[in-house]
Amino acid sequence: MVRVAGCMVRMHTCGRIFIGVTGLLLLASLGRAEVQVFARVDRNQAQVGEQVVLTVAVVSQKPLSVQVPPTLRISGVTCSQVRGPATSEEMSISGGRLLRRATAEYAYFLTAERAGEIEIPAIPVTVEGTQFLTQPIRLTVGKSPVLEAGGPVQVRVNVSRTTVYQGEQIVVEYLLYEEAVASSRIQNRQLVRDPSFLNFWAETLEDIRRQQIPTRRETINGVAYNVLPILRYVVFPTRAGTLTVPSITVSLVAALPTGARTIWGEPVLQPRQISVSSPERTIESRALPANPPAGFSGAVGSFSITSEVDRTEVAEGDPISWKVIIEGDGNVKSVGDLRIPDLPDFRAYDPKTTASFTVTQGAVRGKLVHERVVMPLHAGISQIPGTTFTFFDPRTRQYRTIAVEAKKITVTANGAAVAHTPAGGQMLVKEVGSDIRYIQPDVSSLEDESWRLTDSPLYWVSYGLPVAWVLLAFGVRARRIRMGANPARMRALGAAGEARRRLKVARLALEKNDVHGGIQAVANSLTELVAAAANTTAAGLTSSRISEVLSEKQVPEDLRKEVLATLAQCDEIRYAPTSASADAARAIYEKGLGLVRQLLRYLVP
Amino acid sequence: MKRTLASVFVLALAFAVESSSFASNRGLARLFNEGNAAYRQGRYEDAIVAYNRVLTGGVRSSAVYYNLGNSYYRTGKLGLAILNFERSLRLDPGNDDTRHNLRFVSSLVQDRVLVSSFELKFQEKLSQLLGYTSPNFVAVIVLLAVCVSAGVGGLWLLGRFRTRIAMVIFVGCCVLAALGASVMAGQKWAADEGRTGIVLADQANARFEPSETSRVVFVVHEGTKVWLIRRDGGWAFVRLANGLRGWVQQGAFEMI
Repeated sequence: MVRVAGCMVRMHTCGRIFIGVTGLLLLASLGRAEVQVFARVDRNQAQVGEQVVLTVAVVSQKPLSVQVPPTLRISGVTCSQVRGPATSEEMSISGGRLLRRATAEYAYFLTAERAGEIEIPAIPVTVEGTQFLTQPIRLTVGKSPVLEAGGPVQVRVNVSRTTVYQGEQIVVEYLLYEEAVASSRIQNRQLVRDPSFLNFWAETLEDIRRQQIPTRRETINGVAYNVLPILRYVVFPTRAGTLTVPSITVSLVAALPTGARTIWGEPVLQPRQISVSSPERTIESRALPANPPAGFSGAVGSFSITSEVDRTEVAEGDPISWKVIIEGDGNVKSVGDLRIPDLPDFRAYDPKTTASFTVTQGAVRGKLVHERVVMPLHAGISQIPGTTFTFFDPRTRQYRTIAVEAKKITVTANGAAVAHTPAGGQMLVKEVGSDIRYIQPDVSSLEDESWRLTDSPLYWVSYGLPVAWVLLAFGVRARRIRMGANPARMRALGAAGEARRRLKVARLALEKNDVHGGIQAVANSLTELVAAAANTTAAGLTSSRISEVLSEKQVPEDLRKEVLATLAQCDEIRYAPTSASADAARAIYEKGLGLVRQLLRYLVP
Repeated sequence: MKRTLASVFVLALAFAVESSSFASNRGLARLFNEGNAAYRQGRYEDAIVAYNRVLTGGVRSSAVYYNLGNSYYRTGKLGLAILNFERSLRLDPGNDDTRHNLRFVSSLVQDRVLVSSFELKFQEKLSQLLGYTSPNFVAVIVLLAVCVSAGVGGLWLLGRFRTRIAMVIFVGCCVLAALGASVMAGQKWAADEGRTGIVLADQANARFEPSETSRVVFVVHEGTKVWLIRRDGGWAFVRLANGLRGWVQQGAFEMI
């Protein structure tokens, strides 16, 4: 832009030099104002433990890529991780020009740790690859008002014992006492710094920042206090001598009286950030007696030891869960690795050790579980050996060694049934030994059992029967379907069957010399066949109608005439007053039989 | 007259053949009982001789193999005991006594082969499952199921037996036939592909190649079951239940 402005100056006349210089200055000023980086704090004066918000702002004409340090290292101040950016954009019209302004703000939360003058140095900020520096800021930190003992807010530290042996358990409890009448005016309670236990092994039991611990009411010198547990530790001195339990500081905002009173005589209250610290306590730690027994690993307290297996009767190769549990008042984490003897009868897998503390009715108990999976290597009675544990008992002031007995495991051969003891008093009958079973009894005859049915061809041929049956059923079904699609053929076939049946009746009648019956059956056979072809009944058929039907079915004329002549002969015999001879009737039957066969060729499609 | 004579001749011939077979069978049964008597008296070596003579006589009986396995166990030959129990099981898969004895003797052998992969475990379980059923029984069941399903199906096609019960019978028999056929196929596979043997040598080295100079892959001991993959000269390429493979001398094991 400067080069552009310079060119402009060279291009214009001398009369415009002033305007050019003015424009140059204006553009230069705009160039400087293109990106502005600055820092600010929400207050320049604070107290120890009080939080100050440091904001780094980047202002430009359009959103830009900005990088700020993730945190700051400032002497006397602890700094949180940077938060942000919080971005905003503004647009305005000034002098007919559209002005844009984009802001990105990053916040650091600073907590003053000491009183005095603290300078927040220039913070490097990278904008679009170009580094800018904020201006340094001076912060004045004053001492936070500490309430005098017996004030409305106090932090107390309770120590379960002040004279202990090295390694013996002490419960340290930090409590916030608030006057009951002022408790409602207190807020934003914050632990400024965790206590740093030097020369102690400390285990956190409770932390008000992680769980809701109920408050209790306590009266001291006639003043009621709400007691809020803050932290509870179980600590174990790691060396002998006089040791100091560290103090803690709690920051809170309390509405405190200013000394002035309202027109109604009530004290005027003003919220103030204050810090309250607990007093330091000293502990006398005594050294353990000299010459500890072999196997002592540093455990101090009162312990018990148990050994458990999940089952005592297993099959060979089945896993068993074996636990050695050390429980009691003391630092179970200092026990270290248990001295477990060799397990010759088992395959042992890597152990898993877990230690935990539990608080029951104000007392802290530790529990160490040494769990191991073992697998018996052979059948029979195997033994998980016992083990011992040595510790120093402060109550008796001497070392003690406790032991657990060996566990007997009954291992059955792989796959053999395992009997379990029932819950009742009865005893199950168990298999105590195993061997092969006895030989097969005598047999009167021996058979070769290696013969296989599937080796016989007859077996496979026998599958042909069901297959043939299914194929036959398929064939019949297909035929039925095919016939069902042609009613005329179905009807004709039915008529043909009926005609044959009647001819059979005729033959039987003639064999019994029933001439009239036989001739009647022959006539019916012919007329029924023709009626079925005409889709009508035999009763309505006349000679002319029969001739028409046969003609429609393209029956040759001579056959038609022969049918009609035969029917006429039948009628003559049926209705003649004298009976015909049996031979004539048989001749008519034979003729009728031949005619039915010939007619079927034309009448059945 | 001629026809009568021919009939009498055929009947006489059949009787003679049957009598000869019966006599032979009676002789083997006597040997078998002698073996049992020797076993009872603790003369296990004599029992082994008697049982082996029965087998040499051509009779493949599960009872003979079972008793032979017992006799070998009593003489301390675990490999041969396992071999004969396995052979007995092949003929009579459902025999509980044989399974017990096989399991017991197998627990005494030196090698313990842990089946690791899922595939091998599945094969092992499948073989056990298939071994529980008699092939002849399965064959009969399949044939019956096919006949019943075909009969019901044929009637259904003819429109004679179209009820819900018929449908249930048809579907049930089809499923039974399919399952049975699968078992038959599995048994066939087990007989053909699952060719197994028992190590009879006290110790056998399985090598990378069929050569005495080749490096040893693993060592097996008497009684361990091996799956034969192929043979080459006097060597056999075998697999263990845990998947290990190697070449062993053929004389080190005997096929079941």
